[in-house]
Amino acid sequence: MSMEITRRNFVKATAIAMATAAAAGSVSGMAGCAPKANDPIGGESTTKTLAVCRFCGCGCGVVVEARKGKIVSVYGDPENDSNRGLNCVKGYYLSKILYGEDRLTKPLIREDNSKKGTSEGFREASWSEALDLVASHLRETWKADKSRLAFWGSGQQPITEGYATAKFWKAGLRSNNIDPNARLCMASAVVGFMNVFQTDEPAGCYADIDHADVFITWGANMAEAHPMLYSRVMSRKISDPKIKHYDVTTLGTRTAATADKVIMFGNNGDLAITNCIAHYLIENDTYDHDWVRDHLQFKQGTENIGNAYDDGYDKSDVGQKVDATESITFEQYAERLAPYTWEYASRISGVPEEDIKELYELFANKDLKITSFWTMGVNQHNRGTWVNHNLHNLHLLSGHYCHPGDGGFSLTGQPSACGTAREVGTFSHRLPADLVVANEAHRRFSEAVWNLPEGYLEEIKAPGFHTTKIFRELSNGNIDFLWSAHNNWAQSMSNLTRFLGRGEDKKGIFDAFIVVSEVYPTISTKYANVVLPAAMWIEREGQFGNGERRTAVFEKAVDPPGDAMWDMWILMEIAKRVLLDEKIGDEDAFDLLFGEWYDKDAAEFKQATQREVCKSMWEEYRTFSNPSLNPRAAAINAEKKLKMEGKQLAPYEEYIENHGMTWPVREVDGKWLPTKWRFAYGPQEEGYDQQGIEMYGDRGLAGDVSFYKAADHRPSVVFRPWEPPAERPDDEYPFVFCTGRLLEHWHTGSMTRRVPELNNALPEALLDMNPADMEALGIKDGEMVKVVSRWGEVQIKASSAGRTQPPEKYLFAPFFAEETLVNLVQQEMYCPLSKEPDYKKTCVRVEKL
Amino acid sequence: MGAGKIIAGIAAAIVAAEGVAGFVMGSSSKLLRPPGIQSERDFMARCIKCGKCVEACPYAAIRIAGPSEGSAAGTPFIDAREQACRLCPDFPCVEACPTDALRDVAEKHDPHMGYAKIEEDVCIAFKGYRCEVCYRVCPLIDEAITIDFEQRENDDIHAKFIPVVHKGVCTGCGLCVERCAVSEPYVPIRIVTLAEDGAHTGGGGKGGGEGGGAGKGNGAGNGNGRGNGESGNEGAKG
Amino acid sequence: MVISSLVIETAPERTEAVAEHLAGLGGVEVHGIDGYKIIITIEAETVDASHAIANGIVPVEGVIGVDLIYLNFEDDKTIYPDGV
Repeated sequence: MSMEITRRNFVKATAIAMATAAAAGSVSGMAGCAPKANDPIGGESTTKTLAVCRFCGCGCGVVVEARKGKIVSVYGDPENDSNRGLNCVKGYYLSKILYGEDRLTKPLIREDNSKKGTSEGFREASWSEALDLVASHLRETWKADKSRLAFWGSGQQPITEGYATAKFWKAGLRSNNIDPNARLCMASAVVGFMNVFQTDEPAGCYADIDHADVFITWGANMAEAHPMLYSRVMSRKISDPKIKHYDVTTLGTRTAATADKVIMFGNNGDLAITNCIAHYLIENDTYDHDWVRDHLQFKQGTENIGNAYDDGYDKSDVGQKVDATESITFEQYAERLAPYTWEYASRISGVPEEDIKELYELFANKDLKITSFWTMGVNQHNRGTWVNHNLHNLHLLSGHYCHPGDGGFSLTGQPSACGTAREVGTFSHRLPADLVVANEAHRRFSEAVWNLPEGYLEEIKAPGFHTTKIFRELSNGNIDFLWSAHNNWAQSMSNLTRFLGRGEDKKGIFDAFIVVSEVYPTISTKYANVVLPAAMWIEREGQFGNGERRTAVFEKAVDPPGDAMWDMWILMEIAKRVLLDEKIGDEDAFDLLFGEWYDKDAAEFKQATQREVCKSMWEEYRTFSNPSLNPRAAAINAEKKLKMEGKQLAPYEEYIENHGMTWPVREVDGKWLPTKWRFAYGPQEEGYDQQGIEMYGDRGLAGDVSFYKAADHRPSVVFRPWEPPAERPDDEYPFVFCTGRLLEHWHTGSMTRRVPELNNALPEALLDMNPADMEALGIKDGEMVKVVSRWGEVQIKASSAGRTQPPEKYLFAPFFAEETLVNLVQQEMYCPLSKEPDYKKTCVRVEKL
Repeated sequence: MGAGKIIAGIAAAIVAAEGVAGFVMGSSSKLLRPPGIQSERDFMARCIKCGKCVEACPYAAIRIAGPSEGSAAGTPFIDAREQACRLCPDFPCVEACPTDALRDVAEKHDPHMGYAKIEEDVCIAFKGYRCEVCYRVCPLIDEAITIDFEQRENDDIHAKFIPVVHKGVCTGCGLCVERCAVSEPYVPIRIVTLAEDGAHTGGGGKGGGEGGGAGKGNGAGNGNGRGNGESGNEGAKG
Repeated sequence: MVISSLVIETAPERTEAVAEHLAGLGGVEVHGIDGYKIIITIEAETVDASHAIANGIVPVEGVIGVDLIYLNFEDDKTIYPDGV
């Protein structure tokens, strides 16, 4: 008997409805871009859950449909305010990322160390064997010499997992050798925010786009790297022809192609250009007097700081002073800017004087609302922190900050660099919620929230190894234990020739015990001693915090395959073994840290569902920003004026009900309300920072703005000079080689390349060259060439197709292809303040094969 | 049954759908020729089916038409979805052709193999997704394919990025077809070949060649707007 | 039954004639006309049979495009002999 009449009627009615809608051209009008016409399975016993996209920092909300244990459809969530139902083509294919053929489903143990670096030499193992092995190595190293262990985390790790990892490492192991891949991405922005405002993350939100009169992108290929947000920018531009977009860039991109004006520079010219604009804002008296009077303090810092060519740079004389600043007067600040004339800035940057003047005119115009966006061109820079400073300086000096459409917006690359790495503190120098290990009051406060004896965290007051330091010491043979999760360091780190032990020496990687938690085989798993198969994305419940401070939950929709397990469970099982018989005060260490959620003897979570585990853990985490929940913490918050409520988070279920919320989230008459515009006074109901300012700020200042978390409520305008890149072109290495991302693939491609449609759309990494350079070298479009730097070499196909359009003596290539490891040639040097490597300016030569 | 069977079932449905679509798109009746073709008539007059262009192509993009093609059996054609023409700077296929069936192309703007046409109802960019893979892979980016911006339906804060093919500039190389990120229910971009269009180099009006019972997908009256790529630059080409 | 819905695109001057023709085909129902597009469903025992009917629409005079929109084949015994 075929399908029952009622089911058949339902199916037929669905069929007719969809075809009618399609004919009318309004499929997209059906609740966002959904349901998709190519998904034939619908009807009863389909579950619908909420999530956020697995990929970039836009943080697009999605709805997931699953049936019989499999994802059948994923589409944009129209009720998530970050994207209102829109996705890019990567988001379109989210339903496929879990189903690549080679998902890791069993723990793997490396038996043959001689095969390290290949996919051979592994055998399958049980969880208990793998966990015992990992934990015994970690415990052994921990007991012998804590400086020889490290965890490399991620801005793609869910918030509660990051929180638990940070707690284990900092309070359990009392080690600061934990750093995320966000060090390679947002560190310069983080240090910039902390130096200027003493609080991290943008003041504004995505809605700024809807109000801006002018957009300026600085070192940001937004059209490809933040696709959904760029649609919002274009929508704003369509609405009014007066709205303009200036793209300040080092090469032509799809962003430049759609900008109204392109300002192309080189040679760290961004520092000179921004100082030049600041100089004339003061010289021409077009800066905002009220803002200077009410909101700003002025400083200068250590200069001539060189570059970290040497492994010992951080401990060198200059390396130890890079963070130092001293107060100066406004007049002294103006004097420091005096050399930055139009002529000088033009000479340094290569930008015509008229173009710099045009940028200046924007900032000098009080009536324009200016939104600046910046990402990796600014952050992955040997003076990235300084460029961040200078961008904030422009907006602060001219009063273009903290109003809808007006402000500096650092765009975040990863889906939870904000929510996890930055807010939970999985950095070598941080604690949760803007706290830092070096600050005594911060350590006391963390001890209070974590119920640790007072003084317990003194042992972690010195920052640990940042990312480049971890991998340098690994190569030097000084790291015995490394565990990584939610990243792919063997493809994305700088100077892979060194760090993968492919050089003459520095082969420590082969001796270290390396553990990689993963979902698919990658080049990093090839270097592992143990591979732990993890649940992927919505195979467990998690949370991400996106680039506009929106925290959102992604619900568990299906089970992980094979023996793959929730990362949280993996962490608990390793932690319990490592902390066996350890005590904190009089209590069992593991139970003190994790006993609320995990029964170490029964080897299972105490709560019945992942939802409840997360909800309970969240309640502890949000105590950091709701100190009233913990009397001991509240006392310290008050006494030391920590203003922890500046990042206030709501109870867990609010995030599900509201499809994500932007912090600080305030309780008003029993309702939880998000904040869209920090530091701006106005009704909390409309998203202004009313409660924050009433609690800690001042009324009646310029713009009715109050930077209540800044020291003396005054953000710091720090003078930062122009200094050159770490490498500059010469006869031997005449090209500047820039690496980056393109739309179709996420980072190292471990997920997107397993979606056939995305892999087919962009199947290989190409080296974009300027046609004049190709002709001079006799290289034809499509020809394989060799790129050589002082660090290594790589073969890659040259292209003049023009997807990116480098100026002469400039090159671009993406890093998504494992078979084209562009980072083999990549320099190691980093911004001395943020420790973020410069991925944009390695000098190379190009050779015909 | 279970996940495996469901996947098999979907695959079967897609094959079925593609079967329908394939017929509609006429890929088997009006072949995409190698670069250097001047018109289908000129080509069929000169091509001696020697296979030298097939051998010359470094991408193995050129294949030999089978017996089902009737009088075109044995002649070279390109299946863009399988492997597009890559517009090699030195055009080895043209170089190899002994009868000048392929001729008169010097650089990547010159070939006239046809033009790309987008199926608005299936292309996800028209639905408001940020895709435009076709635009970004195009060897004549911002010339043969450009982007039109339009407000997304029922959404006042996002714009659609609509790819627009410019018939006079597009060479018909088919890289957009090869790389299109959508394959279900079928690939929403295809090459309207010279043969199908019935047009000569540099000329040809909109929706030409509509005659005959099988004038399918010629675009006449089919969304005569920018979407199907018959607007824009139609100036005479070199 | 395998149920699918399709949009049939027609040359505008032939829309009515095509719709009439379609209505007379076995397994096909016409549900509406939107400009030059005709909305139909096809019901058949198997996906192959459904495809054959759709194929038969392609050569009809005035038909420009045949777009499959929705296909439900849970009832196709050649794919799910024991049901879904």
